[in-house]
Amino acid sequence: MTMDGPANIRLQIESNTLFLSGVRELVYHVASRIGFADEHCGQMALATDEAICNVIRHGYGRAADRPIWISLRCVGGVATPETQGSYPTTGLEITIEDEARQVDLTQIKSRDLDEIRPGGLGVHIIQQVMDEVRYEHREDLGGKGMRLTMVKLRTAPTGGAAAQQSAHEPKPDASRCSGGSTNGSAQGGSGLKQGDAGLGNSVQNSLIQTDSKQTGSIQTGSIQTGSIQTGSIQGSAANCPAGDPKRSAKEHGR
Amino acid sequence: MSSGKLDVASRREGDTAILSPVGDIDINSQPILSAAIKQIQTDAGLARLVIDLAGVGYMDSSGVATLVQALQTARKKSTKLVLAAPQPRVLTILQIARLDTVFRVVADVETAKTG
Repeated sequence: MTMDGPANIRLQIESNTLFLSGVRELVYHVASRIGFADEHCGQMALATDEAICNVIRHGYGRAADRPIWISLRCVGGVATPETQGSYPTTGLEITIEDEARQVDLTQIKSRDLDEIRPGGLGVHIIQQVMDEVRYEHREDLGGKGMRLTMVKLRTAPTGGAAAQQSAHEPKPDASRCSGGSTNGSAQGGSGLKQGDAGLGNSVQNSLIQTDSKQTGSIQTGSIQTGSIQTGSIQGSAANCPAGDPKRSAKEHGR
Repeated sequence: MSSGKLDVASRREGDTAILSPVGDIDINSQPILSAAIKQIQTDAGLARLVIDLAGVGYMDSSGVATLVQALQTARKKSTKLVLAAPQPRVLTILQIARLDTVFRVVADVETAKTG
């Protein structure tokens, strides 16, 4: 999916983790203002946080003074002061750019979640909560710099093709600005849908399954529903190996 | 969403320690929680560590990694680790990481002290 046009918001920050909370707030509140449901606003803030963390940790080696650019583009247009109350935006495109070293796009992948160990979850989280994820090499910095483009749709997709189509076509979104929860299976909603914070009950949710492509573009494939139940610790220490410092290059996209 | 700050309080009730982080757990604040957990897990006579997540409005993968590390330590020491009262957003990231059934997660601290 390619979306032309300038960003509605473009922000440059230093690669200092102190600024993460501010960026999260920005993404959350912009998404909320253009009509996304509360939980989706939180998911986009989370994905942005994870993406910037990866740049800081693995792109810049935790250096705190390197530039990171965050761009937000309201797909399908945005309301003006004269059209307050309308929600023309069909999706939010979030782009994270850096000038760090470029990595092999085919190596950017989620790790095996069956291995219970700290770290390596950032790419997986981004893929799960966003509808489209695309990594690219920047071509404007002489062989350095990465660009991550993430899209979240206001209208829930039911598949990759549908996701691409719906990004360009305004559709009504019954859950916009409601802050409430809907049943993921009934609505075909993207991301996780939580019906009840009480852990004594099952929590309805839907998880987007993703397919990784060699081009570095990841799009939603299908939605599955299930229930989340409280669990207890199972297995032995053998199931819980210590973290492997060698893992980071592949699992963090660096 | 909140300010991004994190405060961590702890108390001991017999062989149970209760850790109560309040705020956001991200890459910036995670070391605060990690240090508090490590300190408690070295306490003599600890049988159970309850992490009360009711005051945590946001957690990213850095926070998840901290909890997994705590779980690994608990298993090595044959102690229990229980997560109590996570807010929906925090529970969501545990679900995304498929860790919601790896951890023992309960609705409140009182249950965590006995469950």
